[in-house]
Amino acid sequence: MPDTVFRRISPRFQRILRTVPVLTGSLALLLCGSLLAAEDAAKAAQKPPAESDYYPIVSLPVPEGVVLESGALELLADGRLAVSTRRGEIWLVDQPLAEDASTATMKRFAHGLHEVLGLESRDGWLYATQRGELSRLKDTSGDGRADVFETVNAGWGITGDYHEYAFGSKADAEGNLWVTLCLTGSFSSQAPYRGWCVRITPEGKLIPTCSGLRSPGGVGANAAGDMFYTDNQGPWNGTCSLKWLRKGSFQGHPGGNRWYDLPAVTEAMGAAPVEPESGSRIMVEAKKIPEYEPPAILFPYKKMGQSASGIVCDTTEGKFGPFAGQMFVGDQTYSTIMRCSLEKVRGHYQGACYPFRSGFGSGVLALELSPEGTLFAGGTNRGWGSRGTKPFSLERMQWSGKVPFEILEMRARPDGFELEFTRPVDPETAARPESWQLGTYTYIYQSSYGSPEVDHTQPVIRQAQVAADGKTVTLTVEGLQEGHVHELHATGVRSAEGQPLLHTEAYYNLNYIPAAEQAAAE
Amino acid sequence: MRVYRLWKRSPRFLCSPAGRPVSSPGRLAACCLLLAGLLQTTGPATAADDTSAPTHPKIPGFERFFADAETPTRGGGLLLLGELNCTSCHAASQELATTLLPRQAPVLTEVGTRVRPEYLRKYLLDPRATRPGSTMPDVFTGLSQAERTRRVEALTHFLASTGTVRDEVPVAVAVARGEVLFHRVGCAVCHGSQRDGAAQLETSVPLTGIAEKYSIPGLTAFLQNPHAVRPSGRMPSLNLVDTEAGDIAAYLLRDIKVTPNVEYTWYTGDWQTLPDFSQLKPEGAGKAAGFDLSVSGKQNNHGVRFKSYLPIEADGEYTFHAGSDDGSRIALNDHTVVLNDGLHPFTFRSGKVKLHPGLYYLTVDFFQGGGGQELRIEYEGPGISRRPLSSAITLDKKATPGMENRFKVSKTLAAEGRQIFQQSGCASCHQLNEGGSRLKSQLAARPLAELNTGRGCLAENVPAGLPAWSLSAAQRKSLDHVLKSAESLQPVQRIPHLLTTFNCFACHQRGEIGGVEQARNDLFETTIPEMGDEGRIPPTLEGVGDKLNAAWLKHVLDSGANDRPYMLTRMPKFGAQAATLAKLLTAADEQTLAEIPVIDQPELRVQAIGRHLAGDKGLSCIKCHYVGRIAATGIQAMDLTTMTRRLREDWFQRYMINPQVYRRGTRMPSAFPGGRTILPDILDDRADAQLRALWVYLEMGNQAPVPSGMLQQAIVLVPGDEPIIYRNFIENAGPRAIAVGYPERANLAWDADYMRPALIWHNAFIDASRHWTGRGQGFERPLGDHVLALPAGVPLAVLPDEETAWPAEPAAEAGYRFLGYRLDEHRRPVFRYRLAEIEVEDHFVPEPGQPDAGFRRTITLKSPRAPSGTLWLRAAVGKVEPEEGVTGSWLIDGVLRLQQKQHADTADGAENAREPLRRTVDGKTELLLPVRFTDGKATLVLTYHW
Repeated sequence: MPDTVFRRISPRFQRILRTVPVLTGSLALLLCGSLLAAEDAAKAAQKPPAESDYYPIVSLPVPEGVVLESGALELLADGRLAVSTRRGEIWLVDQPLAEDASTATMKRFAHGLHEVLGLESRDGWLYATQRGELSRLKDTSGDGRADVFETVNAGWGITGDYHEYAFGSKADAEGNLWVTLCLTGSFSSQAPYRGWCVRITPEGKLIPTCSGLRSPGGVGANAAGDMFYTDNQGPWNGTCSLKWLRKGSFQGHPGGNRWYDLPAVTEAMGAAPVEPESGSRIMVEAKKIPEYEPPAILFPYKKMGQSASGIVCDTTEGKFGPFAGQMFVGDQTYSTIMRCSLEKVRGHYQGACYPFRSGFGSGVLALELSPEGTLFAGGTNRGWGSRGTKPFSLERMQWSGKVPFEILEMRARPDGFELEFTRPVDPETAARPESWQLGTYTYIYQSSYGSPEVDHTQPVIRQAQVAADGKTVTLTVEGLQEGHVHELHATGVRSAEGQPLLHTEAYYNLNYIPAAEQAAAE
Repeated sequence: MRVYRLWKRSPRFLCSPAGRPVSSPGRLAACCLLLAGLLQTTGPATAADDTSAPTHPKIPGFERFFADAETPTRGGGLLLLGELNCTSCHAASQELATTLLPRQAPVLTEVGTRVRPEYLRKYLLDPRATRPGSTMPDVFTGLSQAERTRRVEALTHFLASTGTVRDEVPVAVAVARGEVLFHRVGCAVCHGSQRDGAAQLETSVPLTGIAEKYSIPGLTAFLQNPHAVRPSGRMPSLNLVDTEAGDIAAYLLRDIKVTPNVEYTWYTGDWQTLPDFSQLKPEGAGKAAGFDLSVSGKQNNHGVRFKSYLPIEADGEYTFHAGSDDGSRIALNDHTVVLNDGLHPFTFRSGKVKLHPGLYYLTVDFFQGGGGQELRIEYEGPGISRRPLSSAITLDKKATPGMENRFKVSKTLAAEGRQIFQQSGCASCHQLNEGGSRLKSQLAARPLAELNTGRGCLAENVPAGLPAWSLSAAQRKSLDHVLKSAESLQPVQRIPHLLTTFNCFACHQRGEIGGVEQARNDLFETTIPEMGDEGRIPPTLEGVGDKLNAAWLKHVLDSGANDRPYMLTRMPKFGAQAATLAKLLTAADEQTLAEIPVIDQPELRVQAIGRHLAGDKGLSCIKCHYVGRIAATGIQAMDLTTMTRRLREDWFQRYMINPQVYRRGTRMPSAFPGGRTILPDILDDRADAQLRALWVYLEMGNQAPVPSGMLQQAIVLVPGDEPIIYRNFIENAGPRAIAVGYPERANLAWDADYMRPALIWHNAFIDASRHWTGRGQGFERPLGDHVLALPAGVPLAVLPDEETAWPAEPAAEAGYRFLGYRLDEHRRPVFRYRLAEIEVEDHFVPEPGQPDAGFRRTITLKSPRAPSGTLWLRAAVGKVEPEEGVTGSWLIDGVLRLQQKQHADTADGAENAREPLRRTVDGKTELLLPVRFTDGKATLVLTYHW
């Protein structure tokens, strides 16, 4: 189980922690000196940097005849990897971290479950979130196969619509599992808690936690232990997003609000929020509806992806590369993993997303990150096509140890943005305003399906100021748009070695512009 | 020059929550750039002073784009010139006439068969008041009221002399269907919602007075072919089929009041065939217009007898048609002519009979079991085309049906009216043929080029003797403006002009202009909500001449199209006039940019590569697109086999690389990120060659073989040495079903929503393909044989007395909680649940039987204390027959042998000792077995053989 202590460390302290390996990396670079730099530059000219140089992907072998449409992943205490499938099986992969991945073997632990999209191991039990219930499984006979299938809670409704998925989280600090429940047909709520997030206590009690969900694709905590989920483009969701499951909040789709009448909901959540107005904008409604938690991150449709899915947080303290503390989110259609940085502004999470790694074998759905820094990705494209052409996949990805030149984090300032890089920038190119392109837009918040990008504006970058260490650039921007995605392309920025960025773009969802005093306090 | 003023906002997307325009600098800048070429400022803005009466001619495009223009534009003026048909009196240059495609006034050749004379009279007396928004002028300005009335009367008689209106009664089912159709297929996009309380939009063509104007047959004929009456395509044909035109007519004319012409009596009862109503006591009786089933107020288990008289004027053979759901009968003078008896979906049956002139006594009987109900009674005979019989019957033995209030044409007045028609300018606009040639207008007017602005028809107060339109100030200004400038539209400017003329913009956007207005958004529906707006909102016309090949574009405009079956709004047929637009669009949009490669392989190999690409191991087109009649595995986007018929290959090559560029917001993914193929091993990693191959394959059209991944194959689960468990949506076992296939070929589906065994069956277990391919929608049935349903509802209950019905509430409400299952040593599940404080295990084990295996079921209950009152297990519902000579054995429904095995620890001395109870409550016979607790434990053992 991942280190829960680390999760409680404050984001500020983590930022300090995360700079440590990066600093060592850059020191090493400086020491190696300018002799190598020229050679590097020549190489760079021949071959532009590729994602695979930094994060190579390796497939794990799947036995002939097994259809491993991975719905959830969980590393067990004994080092095995549990993989649950949409066909209702759970497989245990022996030696998933073996140096030669092809030597990993797997054995079936259970079958006959209903589309398992959440796994968690605890106290000798394997907790599995099925469509209709949270169960826990155990092998009592010692033959390596589960023989007890206990229902922990089956308190949510299900009508038989394929869209009624249930995604289960890892345990939170209190041991609760958070379950995000898709709407019936992804439009309406025909049974209790469809379109809700509920949490199931260790005692098996169901607590209604958030309303307003549409079609979740994954659920997971950030480094601080706050729970997030991904939702997908559709009614009341102009594009896919990462949303903070603030307890008691409304996540934007009013389809499930009818369940506010249930006594359990009234007790846990109070009265129903005011219904949002269709055709409006997210932040216009957020100001009217206190329960409404606006999406922390919007993944611009067709730019970042089309189906946001599994979530992991990098809690490896640098073993997974320079992105410690950040969140990684899969995209099923694009077969990619995206990267997200978050900050809290006026009490709400918001932040930016960045492309991270493409080229997974199938549609990325489930993610798991080992404490040693190996990211496992399970994929399926059944029913929903993906760029990865395989019907299913199980892959792992490790950091090669080379530090890619990337935008580490884009942070909002009262008058612009602060860009932190993984490696020092070339001060000359970075200080030129024309090295950067910034545009903004948002999405219609409406009851019909999705939204185009609307309300485009073109802010002006007045100044780009490079910090002394070369790692941070402060952009002074005229025309920040509260409530808009700020799409930044740093196409002209070069590293100190003259290399272009591995990914030039970042999309900051500026729900709130930080006030000057908050920025100063940080 | 040009025309189209800047849009303040796009109604679909740019409306802010408060309805205010969202003004963001970027958006405005983009609009300005896009429209710079079309935008003209003609001078200082004049104050908007549109204070004219709200009855000015309503032209949707003018209302939407020009009515509140601050300065008049040429575009608005040209639109009016065409739509008010000015050039039919004021001759225009050939060039301008061609450009305008003027809207011809309705053809009046047989107007008497279509429009009621009473309406014509009212309308001609005051066109504006009778039909607000009408584009017909008042031609009798300046006349005394008496003279006006005289002329109108004469004209009415003349027009009525062209035919007679036939009447029909609106039928409830047709009205209901018509309401859905009207709002769904596209009528309401131009005419506005006709539902109660719907807002009347300025941009709608009003239907005021339509119920006074038309009869159902007249309107039906018009809707079937609107171009026959209105040749200029402004009222397009929606290609209505079957009863659709009649249904819409019935809906629009639903309030028509027709003299009652039948007497009815109605009855209730549960029948399989028509009863003899004369032997039954009616529940109610009365008079009605037509064979109206709503008279009983019932939907199920009722019958109606209608009685009336049918006058026959001509000798000969008549055919009667009885169409009904369920049974019906037609009788004349008590002899059955047609019998369409029994329970069935809507079907017609017909019968022929020879009739002599005279009055016949008509009886129509109808009965309804359950489900849908409908009755259509029609007839045909000498000189009478097939039509509803309700238009020919009467309750008045002396009257001629339908003639009660019929308008009687005076020949003198008609002749006078004919003269007025020619002299007053009616004939200038309206075509009315006599003997094949059009009546000529005798009215002379000055050519368009010689007209003065602000005078004549365009004066604020139109001089006596000239036609008056009650033009709004904006309309007058626009016309004035266009008269001042003589130049014609350039071809590229004609496109927005024509898109406005035909109101294409009501559905389609092109550039920043047009598209669905927010207020009409809900009228656009889809059968596949998950496709989002793409499945619902008609496509953009941006670059449409680049996308569609010229022939198809022409075809679509000329004949309409239905290539998006999921989109319920139809692309109507606008006719040959609109097809002009096709040429302009092609000329403006078409681009040839792609280099289409030549693949040096035989065509059949290229086709095979294309087929591979379309399939699930290629670009996965088939996940979303269906192919011919084979459904896609996800949503059902457009048929792949129609693509090459519609599209240009050059566009296809470019579109496939980046769909987003050509179709903003589309869900169509790019299989070629960055222009590179995701399948490097095919055709040397060349995207263009792969697209060529795909095109060649698609060109096979309906001969194209189905790509891989479409034909879903069965995934049969076969138990080996151990049972297979399959937890999924199973029909009659619920969404939380847990099916178990045992090696002994006996199978079980246990319903975890109700804690009950739901189904048992033999042989093959289950086909998992429904749930394990595609998205897995729906409930699967057992694959094997001898499927037996066990009692629904909760399994255990304490009853207050033996007469109380078995509880029907869901298990959760009855205090049950599912606890899961454990596997026994043979890995058979033992289901566990709790009822209050009783913990229950339900264990099925196959046991040998002849000819098939059966089940031995052991139910174990543990409770800290025995429940107060007897706890019963409902073992069976149905026909319960105790087996003679064998205690504890029953035959259920003649098929299931159910036996209770005594268990040693419960045989004697048990608390609450009771015997099995066979009882009938609410018409259901059930077998209840008592649960006997000893020391807080009880066990029941049952065997099932079937």
